[in-house]
Amino acid sequence: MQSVLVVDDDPEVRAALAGALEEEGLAVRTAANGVEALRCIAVEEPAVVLLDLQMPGMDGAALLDTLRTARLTTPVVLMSADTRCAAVVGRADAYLAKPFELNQLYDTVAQFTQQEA
Amino acid sequence: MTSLAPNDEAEELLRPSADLLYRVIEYNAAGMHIFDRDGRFVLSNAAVEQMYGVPRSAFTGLRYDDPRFVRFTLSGEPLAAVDHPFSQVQRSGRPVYDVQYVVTPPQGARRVISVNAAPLFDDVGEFSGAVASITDITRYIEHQSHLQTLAVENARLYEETVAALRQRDALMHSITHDLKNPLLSILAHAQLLERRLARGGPCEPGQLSEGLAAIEQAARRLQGMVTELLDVARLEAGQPLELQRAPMDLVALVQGCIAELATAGGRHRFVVEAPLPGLVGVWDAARLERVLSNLLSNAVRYSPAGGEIAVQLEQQQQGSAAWAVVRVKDHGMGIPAAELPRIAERFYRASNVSTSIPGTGLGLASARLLVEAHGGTLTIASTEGEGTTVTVRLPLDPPPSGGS
Repeated sequence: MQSVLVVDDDPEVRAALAGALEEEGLAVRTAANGVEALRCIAVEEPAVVLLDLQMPGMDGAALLDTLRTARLTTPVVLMSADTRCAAVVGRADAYLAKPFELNQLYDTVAQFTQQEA
Repeated sequence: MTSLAPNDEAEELLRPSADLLYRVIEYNAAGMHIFDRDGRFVLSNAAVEQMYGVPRSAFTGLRYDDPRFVRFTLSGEPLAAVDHPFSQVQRSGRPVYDVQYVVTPPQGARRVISVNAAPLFDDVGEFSGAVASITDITRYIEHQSHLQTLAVENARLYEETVAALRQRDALMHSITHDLKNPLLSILAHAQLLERRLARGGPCEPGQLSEGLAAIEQAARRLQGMVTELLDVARLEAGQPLELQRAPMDLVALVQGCIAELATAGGRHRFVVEAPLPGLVGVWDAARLERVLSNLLSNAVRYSPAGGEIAVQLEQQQQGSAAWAVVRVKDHGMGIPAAELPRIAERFYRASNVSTSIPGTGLGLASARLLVEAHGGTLTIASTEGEGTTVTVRLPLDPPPSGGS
């Protein structure tokens, strides 16, 4: 089954998004920071990564750069409440501005999970 | 002879009267010197004595460039002999006006002066000396430099204001960011429940109550953030908080806060050192919970490499007053020494904090204000690169005045 990796330092956000995605029959993994996320991406090869921009330690931008430097093409959907981060957003595959609607979440994730299904 | 008087009548008046000339010089409000052709002081008036606080005989016979005179320009460099009014007048044969400098005559007081000087000529038109009139502008210059200090101070205040506004912008930005997470959680859970209901499929009571509980939890978090903002705004405006005081155990509160942080997952180890089974005082439990959870989450946040976070609780007796003392100690990035005094200001975040560490700069300020509202103190000791210790002291009993 295709899996989605949710990376956010906020446990409530992780739980909410995981619940919503599982409802649609997706397998969900979660990570609380960039380092955990890297490990998970390497092992699980998720179909898409939902990535929060602002996190302690390795933040979303740093993780995105690490992935791309390592030539990992896993699609990344950036999530942020910050509207001033256009430069990073340009390097991601899609962007969700917090708070977003579930429909937006499903539509965005579907772009990266359905073609292989 | 160069005529001193503008018309015949005045000349008539002056000629027989060396005495009149003497009086004009002697009683002039300005200090006056007369120099001979070599630049020696031959006559000084009463105002000179007044100005420098020395008898005029201190000048008589000295040359204008005598090394016992200390003279500086207003910009603080030694006044060159050629720039002295006598020297200028001697060279040019013309008067000079408003030559300003600082002078300390031998044994005299230091004065800032403005000098007008004019050459004197003998009967055959040869240079025979100079007359100088001196105005003491010490006060005026001091006033000007005071104004200058004020201008500098104004510029500093302006810069501080701009910096404060920038901090506030950053805070607004950060707060919106923080508010959006619980908002997202509420939206997601609510819409998920709606979808389930709309599908008409089975919605188990467990799922329903789970979703509702998550919504409530996120809403409480929002509420907490908003209350904290309001509290801080109120305290900073000098309005008292109405504390909801009741007997409560600080040790239990600390353990509760730690349990909550621990569920968030992380690489930090919490060590609680409490020599007592409990530490009970009469405090506002909700507000102290916010203090401790701010301090603990700061300790976690600002030691991103993980490590031990120690919380030490003890009771101290000081005279007749009993205090509860809580220390939260991390081994994180610490705070640069120069910024320690500002760190508990609202919105202030240390310069060694990477922008990727979320935070509003409100937590510590809010903690300090809430502790102070309880009649306590919050102090911070920190070494950059080694860690930070925040010490909270709270009086065990409420103030007898029955106030907040």
